[in-house]
Amino acid sequence: MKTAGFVGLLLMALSAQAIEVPRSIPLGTSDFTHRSLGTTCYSMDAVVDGLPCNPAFAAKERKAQLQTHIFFGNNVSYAQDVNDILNNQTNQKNIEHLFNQTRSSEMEANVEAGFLTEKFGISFSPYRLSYFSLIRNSALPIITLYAGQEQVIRTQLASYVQDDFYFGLQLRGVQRRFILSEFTLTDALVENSQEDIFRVREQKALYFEPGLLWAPEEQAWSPQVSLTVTQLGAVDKKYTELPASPEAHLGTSVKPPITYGELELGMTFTAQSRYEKWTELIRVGVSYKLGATQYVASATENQYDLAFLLHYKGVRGGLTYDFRKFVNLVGESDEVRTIYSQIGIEI
Amino acid sequence: MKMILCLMLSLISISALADDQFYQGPAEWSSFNKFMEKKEQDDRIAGVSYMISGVVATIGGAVGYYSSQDSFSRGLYAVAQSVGVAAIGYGATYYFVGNEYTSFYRAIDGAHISAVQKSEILKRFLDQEKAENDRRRWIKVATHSLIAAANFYSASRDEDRNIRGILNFLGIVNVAMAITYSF
Repeated sequence: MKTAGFVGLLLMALSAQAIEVPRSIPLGTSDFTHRSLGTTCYSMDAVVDGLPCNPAFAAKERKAQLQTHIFFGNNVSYAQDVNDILNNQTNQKNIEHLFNQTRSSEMEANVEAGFLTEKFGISFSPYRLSYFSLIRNSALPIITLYAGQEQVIRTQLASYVQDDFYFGLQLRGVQRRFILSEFTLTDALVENSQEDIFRVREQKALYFEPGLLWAPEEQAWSPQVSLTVTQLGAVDKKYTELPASPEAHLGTSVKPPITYGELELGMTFTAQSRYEKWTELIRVGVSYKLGATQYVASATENQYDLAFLLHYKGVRGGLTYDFRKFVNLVGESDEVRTIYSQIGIEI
Repeated sequence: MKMILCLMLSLISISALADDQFYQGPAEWSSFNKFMEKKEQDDRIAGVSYMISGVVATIGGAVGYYSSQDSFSRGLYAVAQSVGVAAIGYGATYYFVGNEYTSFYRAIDGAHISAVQKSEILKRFLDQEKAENDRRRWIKVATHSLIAAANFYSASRDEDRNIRGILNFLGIVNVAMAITYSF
């Protein structure tokens, strides 16, 4: 009785707070560039795949290219759970899978094709899956679960303005189906409760994401300063759990001249409404490309990513190790480690 | 899975249409000579870079292959090893053989003829190359237009909404590529 009372009080306490899911999971882009460089990709040239993070960079493109890639986390087995849950086919196996986890986890998978040429880019992702589960209280687990499936189309237009200034605009249309809920094992096993817990919601969103870039030509270190605004747009249905507040990314990068390979260093400051410490808003990144290999690392206070990419004659494959630590809603320290893989073709 | 395969196969099938880089300067031997000196230096650096990165990938792939247990990872490391060896060969070709202009450049550069005569031969060579490139370009326009038509036709016949979306997307991309090549 005491235990039930404790769980009840705990759930009441939790229900007073918003369900927390990292913004990049439901609202971000799943590809090698975004995952390995994080927000520093908005200010760096070291784009590995897909369209540039900052649409103004499309104005600097000189060669037409067609790209496609498949991107997936090592825990891709969750993809089946996401499919079952979003298709209203949640079963005992899915629930066992969820409650057998020993730690919080996240997964993203994406297949995307894009075409980029000077001043114009378009990409289509027919299948982006994202998954996030947060486990609290190991004795009587309470699970926060986000599972989403999206179709995304992006178009970028960019142009030279004047004196080394470039301007770009990205239009991003997203159609998403997702569930976001918090429950205990007891809740999940109660008859007819699954309809409430795993209630699928839908949202259509259209984002207008402008970017500015200052990139003076013929400078030894190729300095760049950029500003990108993301998540600026409209949705057909508002959900408090999926905040629609815009973010601004102010960044800079340089390419120190070296004989062998190409080195790029970048730093980005992100202005957003939700943060605990200002140091979380700064991210630094480095990319070194030598022949058929590329090494990428980026870090912020509570997260770092290390990536290795091998590319040869338009075909590329790579791995990213992602580590993130955080304090969950009941004050417990938690961490998530994921390895992402990518296979891509560039024409 | 069907969607992913469709997308990848469609793109692989047109991967042979990749662009090459050509000399676009004036038909003057001094200008071409400067271009080739810089390109040969760049080729040597690119060659060394590919050979070093190939060695890293080969060793890394071998270490990963023998230290991993599951078949998927071993497969990936085996591919990395193969790509590493291929990159060493690619780098060696860059370093020791050069680029598509090297044979022409070395043949003319070593000939006992005047700079004016070299420029004249260069002009004829570049004219010939330009005509070939124009033919290649129009073949690409026709190829991408036909691929686009095939994609749109398949999309109109397919009952799967997701497959229709991918085929229509590929059709639009191929139209965009055909337009790009036509200028």
